[in-house]
Formats: sequence, C-alpha cells, structure tokens
Amino acid sequence: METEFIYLDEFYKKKIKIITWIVFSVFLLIDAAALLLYILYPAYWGVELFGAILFTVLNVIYVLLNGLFYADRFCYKITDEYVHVRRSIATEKDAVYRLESVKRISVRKYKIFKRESYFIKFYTQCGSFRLSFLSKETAQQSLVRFRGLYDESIFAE
Amino acid sequence: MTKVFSLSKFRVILYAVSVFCISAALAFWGLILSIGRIWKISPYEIVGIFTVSFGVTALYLLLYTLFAPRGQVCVSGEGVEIRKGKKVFRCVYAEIFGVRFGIGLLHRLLKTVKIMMETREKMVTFYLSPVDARNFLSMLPSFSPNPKKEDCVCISSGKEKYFAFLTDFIHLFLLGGIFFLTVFPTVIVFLGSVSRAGYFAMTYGIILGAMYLLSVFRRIFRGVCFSDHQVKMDERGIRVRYGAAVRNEYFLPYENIACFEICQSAIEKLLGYSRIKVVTDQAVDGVSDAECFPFLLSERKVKEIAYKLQPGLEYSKGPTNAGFRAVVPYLQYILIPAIIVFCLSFILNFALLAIEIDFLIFTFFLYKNKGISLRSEYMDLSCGVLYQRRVILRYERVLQVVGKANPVAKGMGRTLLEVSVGKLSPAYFAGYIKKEDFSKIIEMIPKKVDKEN
Repeated sequence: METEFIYLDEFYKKKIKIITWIVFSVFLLIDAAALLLYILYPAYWGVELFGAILFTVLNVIYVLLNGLFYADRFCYKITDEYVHVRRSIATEKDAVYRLESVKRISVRKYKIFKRESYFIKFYTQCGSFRLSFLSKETAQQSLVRFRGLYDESIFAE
Repeated sequence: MTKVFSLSKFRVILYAVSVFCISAALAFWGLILSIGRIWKISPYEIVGIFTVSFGVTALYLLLYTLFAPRGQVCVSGEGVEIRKGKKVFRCVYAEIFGVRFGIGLLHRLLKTVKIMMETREKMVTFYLSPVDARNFLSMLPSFSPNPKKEDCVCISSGKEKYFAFLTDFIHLFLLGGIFFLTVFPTVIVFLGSVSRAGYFAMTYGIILGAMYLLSVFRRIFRGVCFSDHQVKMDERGIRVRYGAAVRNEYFLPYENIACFEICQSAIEKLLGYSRIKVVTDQAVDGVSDAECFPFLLSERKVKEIAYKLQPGLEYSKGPTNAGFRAVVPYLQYILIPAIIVFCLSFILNFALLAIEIDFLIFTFFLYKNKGISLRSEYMDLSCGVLYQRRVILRYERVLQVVGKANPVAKGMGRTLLEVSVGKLSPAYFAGYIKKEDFSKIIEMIPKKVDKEN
C-alpha cells in the first residue's frame, strides 16, 4: 500500500514560524548593537567586522531559513519496511531507515502554545533521528509499528 | 557429549605479571612527581620502585589465592558455558564467530593459551592449557574440519603482497610531488629567493621520507602479525589462521558478513592487485576487529573469493559512473576554497593560482571513483578518493540510505547517495546517482533482515 508523506499540521507550521522570527530577531539585536558600536567607534573595528558579518550570515541560514523551511518542507512517512524522513533547506535530504534497525524510541511531551506536543527520537543501529512537533493523534499513529520500543504510558496521561 | 575444562592454574602468573608492570609504572610516575626529575634516578630509588611493585604483586597473589573463584569452561551439545565463580557466561554455537589463540613467549613458558572468543554480544577471554585449548576448539562445530574437502577453496597471499610498499611509495611521492610543484612557486615568491625556498623543499622531503619509513614499518609489522596466513572457504564460511608466535583462528559464517569491499589504488589497478575487506556484523557492532584478507591478492584470487562471498556476482561489470555531467555537483566541495585562493592570488601573488591544480585533481579523483550498479540481489557501488573501494552489498543488509541533493544536483535530477550497514561501519558514499536509481534502492529494501538463515 502506498503511504503518503505526513507534513506538520497548520497549527505547528504557524507556531514554528513565529518562534523562528522571534529567535532571529533576538539574534539580530546583537547585530544591531555591533552596528551601533561600529558607527560610534569605527577606529576600534577591524577583523571583528568580519565576525559580525559572519554571525549575521549564520543567523540567516541556521535560524531563519532552517526554521522557515523546516515548517513547510519537513515531512516523513512510515511504511511496513522503512521510515522515510525528508527535510530540505537549500539541500534536499532524504533519509531512509530500515524499520528493523530501530532499537529504542524516546517520546517526550511538552506544552507548546497551550497544546500538547510530542517529540519522538528514534535510536537506530546507525544513529538517531527525530520527529518533532507532532500532535497526540499523529504521534500515536506514527508509533503503531513500534509497540514495545517506547513507554506507552505517556499517551495515557 | 559434555566436556568440562578447568581454567589454567598458571593464569595467576600472567595476572601477577600485569599487576607488577602496572604497579611499577605507577610507582615510577609517583616517584617522578615527588622528586621532580626524570633523568637522574639513584639506585636506591629504583630499589624503592621494585620493592613497592613486588609488595603489591605479593599482596595481589595472596588475595587471589584466598578469594579467587575457581573457573571452568563447559562445552555441551547446546553451547559453551564459562563459569568464573558467580559469573556465568553462556552462548550457543551459532553466536560464536571467532576464536583467537594468544600464545606469546610467557604463555609458552607457562604452558598456557589465552583464548579470546568473539561472540555476538562481546569478546570473552579465558586461559586453558594447550591440550585443552586444542580439544576445546575441536569441539566447537564451526571450527571442526570440513568433511567435504573438495568444496574448500584455499587462499594465501603470494609475492604480490610486497607490492604494497610500491603503492605507498607512489602514493606519497607522486601525490606529494604534485602538491610540492604547485606550492613551491608561491614559497619562492614569499621567501624572495630560490636558495631560501630550498630549505622548505628539504624539510618537505624529510617529512615525506619519514612518512614513507613509517608506512614501511607498519607494513612489516602487519607482515609479522599475519605471518603464515591461510584462508579456507567452504560452504559454511571462512576459516582464517595466522600468526607464528601468536596463533589466531577465526571462523566467519557467511551469514555474519554484512558486505565486502574490493579496495585498490590506481597503481594496484594497473598491476591487477587488490585487497578484500570483509565487513562483519561483529565489526559494525564494535565487538571484533577481525581481518580475513590483510594482504594484497592477485585478480584471480580476488575473483575466487568474491564469487564465493556473493554467488552470481557480475565481477567484470563493475559499478558505472553517473556520466561526465555528474562532475558538476562535485564542484561544491572545491568551489569555496578555489574562489578564496583565486581572490588571494590577486592580493598576495599570482603563483597561488598553481594550487588550483590540486583542487582540480581532487575533484577528478572524487568523481572518477564513484559509481553504482543495481543488480537483482545486491548493489555494486564504488567509493573512495585515492583508493577505490568497490562494495558488494546485499539489499537486505542495508540499514540506512541517505540521499542529498544540492540545488545544482537537484536541477540535474541527481542525488548524493550514502549507505550504512551498521553503527561503526563506514558510510559508503557512492557519489551522485540518478533520482530514479535512488527510488529503486528504497523499493528494494525488503521487510526482514534475515540474519539467522
């Protein structure tokens, strides 16, 4: 049976974008402070200016683009044979993990914007991967094939 | 039939020697810290170190004789049970993968054999007398001689193993030479004269020479370790024996093999020699460091081994490259440093542009040694930069597949393939492959990893 990719639902997409913009703006304040210092004391600035530019570039790539693209493009599908996770910023990354290679699963529950959100970490024979910002129903549905590998009581609470 | 072997009583001497050495080293370290010098140590201080070491060893021997548990190894129809006091370790025969005999000089004197048994879970070490060790090994079904001798393929490395010295030499001096030729003009410009740059050339030559000497020593050491190396391949698995002073024996059932690699450098390819690396389940779990074929082998022997490890292997049809256009995505690895060097050449000196040749050579190797062919039962992929590693990997052994496509590769319908077979195994990068091939690999991943059959 062909399984469709599961994307994050609209609620989380919006919230992740909000969080991304907030974090990006906070880091931008550091840039603003650096710029102010540069205007006030231009003689003291040399190599530090390159550092500030580099910091801004990293802020844009790792905070803004990563967050925005994660919300829109992150998706996964779980079939009877494998787990397929797709995430992309500039580079599109498709990771396929054999179902049997999953050895342990840790499920964590947080309240984000007054809604129960589930974060699942899969430990495989080759490393680990995460599925984040899942609703209760999606998380339960995703873990149907992994009974016994995680603490099921977390969904009962 | 059940047979019980008592652990060698002489093992206590081996333990005592270890305790003596460790306590002497610690006492020596403590002495240096307290007196604050290392080159001038008086005879009294040396006597002091030995007194402390002897005292600790005597105390250890006393405690060992009073409290040490009696140990035994029980071999029954079901498996092996190793009992050391309250500690009991059991494993069935199917889980025993390798048995190594450690017979050093001290072991010979004490008539004791150190046995290292590699199981699916961990490596277990115990001591037996030489007769018991031989009997123990003959009782393990996997290590008993194969009744059908006609099915057995015997392999040993001939004189071709000495070509490894030539490979190291060419690798170091040819590639080192190319790098030197591209860097030397810049050094001359910076230092202002050829005679001054000569010191750089001399230092560079000395470093290359030292590196070559190190690689020669490494080859000789391996040669000594793996002396008298013999491999037999029958219908059940691979039996390996090596070592004159320290005897080692492995048995590797075929079902424990995750994949195998045929490794060769450009010069070895020219001469028709290569090395086979077998990746086992135990190796990827970190239990074993067993090596079956440590030397270079001729193409005929490699073919023989490869056909045995993967029946129906299409040896002559190797992995195919993704076409010349696929070289474009590889440029991402060198583009940024190449641009930096290009810009610096305008600021510093134009001789720096010669370094761009190194980037081009690196990209060429990166592209040339990559490729993949998908067969019905296995995938045949090649990776590596200086050494080409052709990997024969059955689909059911693949645990993780990752495909990465940068914008250029995405536009060309290619994706960078990375395949893993275990936690500690190397990830195989087969280069940029077609998107359709990537989808095909995902489809070929069957449901079960059938390790038992």
